[in-house]
Amino acid sequence: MPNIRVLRDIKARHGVNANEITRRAYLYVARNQTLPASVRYQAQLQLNTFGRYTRPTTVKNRCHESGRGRGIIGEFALSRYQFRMKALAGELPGVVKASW
Amino acid sequence: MYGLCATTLTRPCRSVFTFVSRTRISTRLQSTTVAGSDRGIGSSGSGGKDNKKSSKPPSSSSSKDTAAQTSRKQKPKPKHSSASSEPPTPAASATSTPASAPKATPAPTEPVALTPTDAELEASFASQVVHGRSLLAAYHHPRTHSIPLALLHFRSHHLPLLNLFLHFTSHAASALGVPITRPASLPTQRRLWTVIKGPFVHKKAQENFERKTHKRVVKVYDADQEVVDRLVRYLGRHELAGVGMRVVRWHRAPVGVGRKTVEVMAREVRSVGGAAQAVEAQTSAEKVKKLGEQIIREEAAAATKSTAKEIVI
Repeated sequence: MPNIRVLRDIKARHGVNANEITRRAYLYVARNQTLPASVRYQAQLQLNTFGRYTRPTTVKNRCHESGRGRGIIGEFALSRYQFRMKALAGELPGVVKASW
Repeated sequence: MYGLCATTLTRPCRSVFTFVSRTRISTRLQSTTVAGSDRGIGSSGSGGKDNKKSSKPPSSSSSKDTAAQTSRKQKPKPKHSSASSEPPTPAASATSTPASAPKATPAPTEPVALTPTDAELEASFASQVVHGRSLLAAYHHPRTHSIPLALLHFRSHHLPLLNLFLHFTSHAASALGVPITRPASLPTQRRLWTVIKGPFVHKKAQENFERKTHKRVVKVYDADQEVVDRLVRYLGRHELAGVGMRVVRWHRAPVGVGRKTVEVMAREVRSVGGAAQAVEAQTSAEKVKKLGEQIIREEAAAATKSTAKEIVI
């Protein structure tokens, strides 16, 4: 069972994917200088009603093994320690100890 | 733009071994086409045709003498090289031919599984076989017209695997009579990660990991499109775990093909329903803009309604 933080991140990713176009439409209206202020204001209020699992800022790369939020290697979705353990075990294809 | 189709410049490679014999100018190869074609890679379509067999018997007796003389001096021929696809049959036939040959030749009238001419051909073929041929480097056919037809890209993290598959590819192309280049190496990509060894602090103790991607390219020339299809499909069917292959194909088309495709496409769009297709082809930016405009209309309507109410009150 993955970390609860990983699960929340997955939920956020799904939410962002589903609502991206709607959010961007409202943002377009709210930031448009040529429109009347009342329309822009309404659009901004609508934008505030969206939950946190629809905001792209909620998305954060996490380690799939440990749930760590820092020191993530994006290609493998692993934290640095997990990456090292798996690399030494030979579980990452093509990854070897470098020597030159 | 090439105005001619490749098939007009190179003979269609229906029976690949006749193509080989033409370039190498070796009469002994003609005698082996029948035997070789049964085991050949690209013979699934052309193997059923007996046109080769009908033409072979008159020349077989003469070519057998020349074969004996020339077999030792000439380079080992590529015919028997790619045995990986059918491991049991080449070995079985090679061992059986010496046994069957003495039986068949003294009594040609006896009903045998193989006809006498086939047995002779088998014997001559077996005498010329170079065992372990697949271990040696493959023969590269010379280009006839230098018309590039395909690019085969290979990538791997492990060099021995890559070299093995390249060796296999060269033998496969050689057997099909397809001229290819020697493998060219593209620059190796190297990805390096320096990670702290421990899970917590100890920044000074770090470890380097790398991943090297080795790349090779082979260019294919001067063969019929069907033959190149077969080669690519064969390589795909016998791909090696750990080696990735990407194929770039060039098709020659007659002059005026660009105009034709534009007309065809325009006709399609008009007939099927341009509106529906246009909606599907909308990018996300266009969708956002449309939705934004809809929101503006809704909000503007709501705003006017609310102001009207206030005035009434």
